[in-house]
Amino acid sequence: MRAAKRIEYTKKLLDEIGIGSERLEFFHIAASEAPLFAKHATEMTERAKKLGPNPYRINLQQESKKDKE
Amino acid sequence: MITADRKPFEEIKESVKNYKKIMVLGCETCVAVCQAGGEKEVEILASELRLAFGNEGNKVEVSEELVVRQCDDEFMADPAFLEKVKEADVILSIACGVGVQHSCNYFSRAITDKIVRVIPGLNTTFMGANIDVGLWEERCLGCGDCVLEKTGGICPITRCAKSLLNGPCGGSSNGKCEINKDTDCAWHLIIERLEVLGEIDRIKPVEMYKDWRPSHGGGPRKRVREDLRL
Repeated sequence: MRAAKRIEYTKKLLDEIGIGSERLEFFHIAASEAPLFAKHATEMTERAKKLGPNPYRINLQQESKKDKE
Repeated sequence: MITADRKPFEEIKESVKNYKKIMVLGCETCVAVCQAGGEKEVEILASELRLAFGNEGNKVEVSEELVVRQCDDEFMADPAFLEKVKEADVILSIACGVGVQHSCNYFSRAITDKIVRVIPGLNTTFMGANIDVGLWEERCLGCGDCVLEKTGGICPITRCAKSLLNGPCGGSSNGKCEINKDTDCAWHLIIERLEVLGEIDRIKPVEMYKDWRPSHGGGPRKRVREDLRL
């Protein structure tokens, strides 16, 4: 499936730039599978919490703080 | 068309790490069609560089530009574009090797008050055809002496690993080449095609050695059309 291949490609890009491929995931969920959607959403939320904020954003915030000072 | 692959990101990043103003310059022709250096690829590479350097706390400005053909003066002779080129510390060209060399040469002629650095973001691969979605295969070596008329439209110079003019060799097995089981034996294809065309007799005479002088053996080639020159 093309979308899955594109996700794989994008994961590679995320690894290359140091953001990390684990921040992006692809799931097959049918419209009728609300519990599955909720399960994966929880999984991804837990993962995002574990990984912490996007390192790029932290750097940007630090830069902007420095600029204001 | 000329096909190319993007260089590994780490290699690109290393090559531009000492510059603060980077211009990613794409080309809208061959490399755009093979999705290595067109508009979308310029956007992706520029975003990657911004994020990767930003992630390291390295402040860089990455601009995005695109020209129709980097291998042609007329598409780069726009004063507003040249101003932007002047502002950049380095031009990261994602054209083929021809485009990189030509833009480098053009900028040195068009911009005299600054030395413009142009570095490549792609590895140029071959002259090929778009065989299927996302698949390109080499079809021409540019040998300067085309034999396709004798070989049913299949080039043995490009598609035979040994560039044989009299084939197949002993390495052909079940229509595949000995170098790789995924590679068709060009001479197998040629014989099949000539049979379909009813022209199998064409390969009966032994071809003499190929004249490689029109190829790259004589150094870089030049093509002149006097009637077009000003």
